[in-house]
Amino acid sequence: MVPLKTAAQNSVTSKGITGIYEETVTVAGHNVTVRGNVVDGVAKIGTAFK
Amino acid sequence: MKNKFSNLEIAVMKALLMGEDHVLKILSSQFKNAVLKERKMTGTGFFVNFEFPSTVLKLTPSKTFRFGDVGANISGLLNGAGFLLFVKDGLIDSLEGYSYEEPWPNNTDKFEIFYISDGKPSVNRDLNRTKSLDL
Repeated sequence: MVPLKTAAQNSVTSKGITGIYEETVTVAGHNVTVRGNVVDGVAKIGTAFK
Repeated sequence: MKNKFSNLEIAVMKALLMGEDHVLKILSSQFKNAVLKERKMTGTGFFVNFEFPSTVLKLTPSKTFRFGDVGANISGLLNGAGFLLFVKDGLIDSLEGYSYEEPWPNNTDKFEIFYISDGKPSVNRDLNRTKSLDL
């Protein structure tokens, strides 16, 4: 299983996202929308919901 | 202040509900009649639940959705905060405030509200984009 934080990091890295983001990622077979902020290349998570 | 909305919560709600839009106008009228039911602190943010008089105007047709194109710089948070408003069955249900993995400050009196447009803070709101995504 890919942890939420890893999934968010992979998504923003692959898309070159900087700053505030909202991405839908798949975790344990579920689509989860993650809102966060990319700080120094690191995808920080604010909240997540299905 | 446990049973009253904080200045930050009021400012966020006003920013979220501002705009020439039928849905926002009804939600804004709901908020003017809202009472704080409960505030839960999560450590990195909060949830505020609302309650209303039975006569409050609901959205028709009844809708359930969430939106949040408002952020804030808050003293004590290096990377700011975001907010989500949850509407359930045509009525404002709850407001979530969250940091980006930072402890939520005890004092949020010093803040600056902004809209989020294409992932960047903005003075102006792109209401058409917000409506297409959320409302």
